[in-house]
Amino acid sequence: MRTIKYIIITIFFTIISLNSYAQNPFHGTWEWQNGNQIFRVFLFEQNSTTKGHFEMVEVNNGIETLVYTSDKPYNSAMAQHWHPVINVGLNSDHVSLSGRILDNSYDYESQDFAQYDLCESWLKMRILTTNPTTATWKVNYYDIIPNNAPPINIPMDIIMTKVE
Amino acid sequence: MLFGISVLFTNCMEDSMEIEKPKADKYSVSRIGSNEFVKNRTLTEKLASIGRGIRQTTGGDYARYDNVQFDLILNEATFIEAIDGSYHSYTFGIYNEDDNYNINNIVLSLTENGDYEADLVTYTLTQEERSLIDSGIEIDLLDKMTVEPFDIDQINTYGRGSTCTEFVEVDRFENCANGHNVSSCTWECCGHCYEYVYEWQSVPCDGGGSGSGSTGTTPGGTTGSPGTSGGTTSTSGGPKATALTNTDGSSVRNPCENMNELFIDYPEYRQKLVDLSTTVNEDHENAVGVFKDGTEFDQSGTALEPYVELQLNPISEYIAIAHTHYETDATTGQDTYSVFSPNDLQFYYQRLKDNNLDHRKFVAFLVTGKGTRYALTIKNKTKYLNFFKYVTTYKKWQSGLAATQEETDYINNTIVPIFDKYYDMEGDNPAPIKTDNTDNQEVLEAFLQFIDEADMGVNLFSIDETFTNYTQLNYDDSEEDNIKETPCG
Ligand SMILES: [Zn+2]
Ligand SMILES: [Zn+2]
Repeated sequence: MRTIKYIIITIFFTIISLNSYAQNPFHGTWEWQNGNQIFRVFLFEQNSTTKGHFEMVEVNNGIETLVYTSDKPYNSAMAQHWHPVINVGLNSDHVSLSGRILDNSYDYESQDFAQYDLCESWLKMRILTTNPTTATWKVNYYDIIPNNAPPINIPMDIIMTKVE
Repeated sequence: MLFGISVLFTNCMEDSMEIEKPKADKYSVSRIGSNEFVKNRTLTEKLASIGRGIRQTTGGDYARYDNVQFDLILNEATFIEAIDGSYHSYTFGIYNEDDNYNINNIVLSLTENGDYEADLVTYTLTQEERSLIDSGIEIDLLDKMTVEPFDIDQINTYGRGSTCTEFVEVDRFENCANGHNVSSCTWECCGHCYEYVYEWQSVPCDGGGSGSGSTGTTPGGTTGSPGTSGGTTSTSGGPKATALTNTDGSSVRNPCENMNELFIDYPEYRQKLVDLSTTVNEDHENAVGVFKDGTEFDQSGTALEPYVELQLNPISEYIAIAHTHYETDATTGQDTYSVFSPNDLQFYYQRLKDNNLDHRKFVAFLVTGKGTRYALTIKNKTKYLNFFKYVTTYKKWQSGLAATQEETDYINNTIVPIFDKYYDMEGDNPAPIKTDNTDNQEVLEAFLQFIDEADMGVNLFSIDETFTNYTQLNYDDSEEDNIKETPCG
């Protein structure tokens, strides 16, 4: 009986889940422009959560140059790329999401970074009531962090626009 | 995960630690790290065949052999070598996850043909005896030992038959290495200097051993008195030797002990916890804690900075860290998790790994703006270190070294999926630990299931508002709400 109940519950929740993914207004590409730099965030569904990567590019005469990206090899000795550094979930209000982000944008192999440990932050996004294609983006350390956490390098408090 | 059983290699600080020169000059005993014995191919093949031979239990339990749950500790072994070089043995600890105070060891003994024989040695102990051993106090173990040839799937080349065993205490160590006193010697300072080397021989039961020492191999049986020399024909060559090899701090103890001891040693800390819990609606986190040397600390995050920064390298080890997860009026119900966060657990991991946290005393307290109060203790250091080893892989990436495929796979195939399953899950799924989930019971159930699935080696407790009464919480799907509650006595 237990198994049957479990299956039914699973199916039930799967339907609900599929439903909410379809409605997740955050999936897609978000941008924030600052001078000639664009901070870009890619959010997508994976493993029943929302995952993502980010990048910062510089635009000169219409040509983009990469400043940093989270979707890079784990380090110079490895070919394998980072798993998505954004792990978030849509909240039950369906206009905000929250979760964790790991800022890997530094050149963490450099000697300057040796004093630090990579450290996760929380990420909160909320769609503005005034314009559904814009949302706040807030990143900060949360909870217990060691006193050798590096300063956060990515934008921490901005308003982003959904571009696709 | 080697051999299909849980075989744990962890980095060992001291790769080779001479414990003591034996008094009787028959054996030398040392503590060796895995980097030394992995080079011994015959030995590692034998360890692998032991792994293959052990039956897996159903239901994700540990493997079992002769009613001993298997969780072999392979990062260290006690190496006993005859002074004349004719014999040596390796003794490995096994984590005891059962509800008793026994210590189990696997002994691999060199035989004449160059192979190793495997025996399972059990020390049947009472709670009192076990706690004496864990605090480094010597006790006579001779009448508490039994040995069982590890004899499945032709692991041993000799026949099991009906043999009986005689134990003899041959060597005794007066002192640990480095001049430490036996009675004050702990695992951490000496790698647990157990002072006796025990020899045994397998003898035919019907013939009876010489002297009074012949006995059955079932637990509870008595063995020969010290000094008896079992001089009869052995079914497997000469005598074999072992020494008690304890596991690192995995002792079976009262799960509530850490809190009890903390409040006995620091009675005023209880009020600090009560005071701390009045700050959960401030717009930042706060922490109060105790170091092993008795100093206390008090940390506040700054307004609207949601974190609290704690010392990486404290002067003395952490034994208590309490912190808040806040909820402000503006966003009530959306600010923080009602249970421990990944960052919290990782912080404890790093301090534990860097020897800045004494897990045998440590209590992590959490009070939240969602109204929850929890305590968490680390009951099995190796398991805790093992689960969070991915943090060390991050450090490896920083160092520019290539992580192994196994290390990377562990992150991508184990760590990412398990955090996805329990933290920040999408929408209205079951069991989500989310900052906007105000169903504390649902979040608690998910957290208990998470630490269970992660096999993290921790205990979780709920606490009353006076911080006096603690209730142990376990995930248990036979309970109506999947949570088993056991009040601390
Ligand atoms: Zn926390
Ligand atoms: Zn010592």
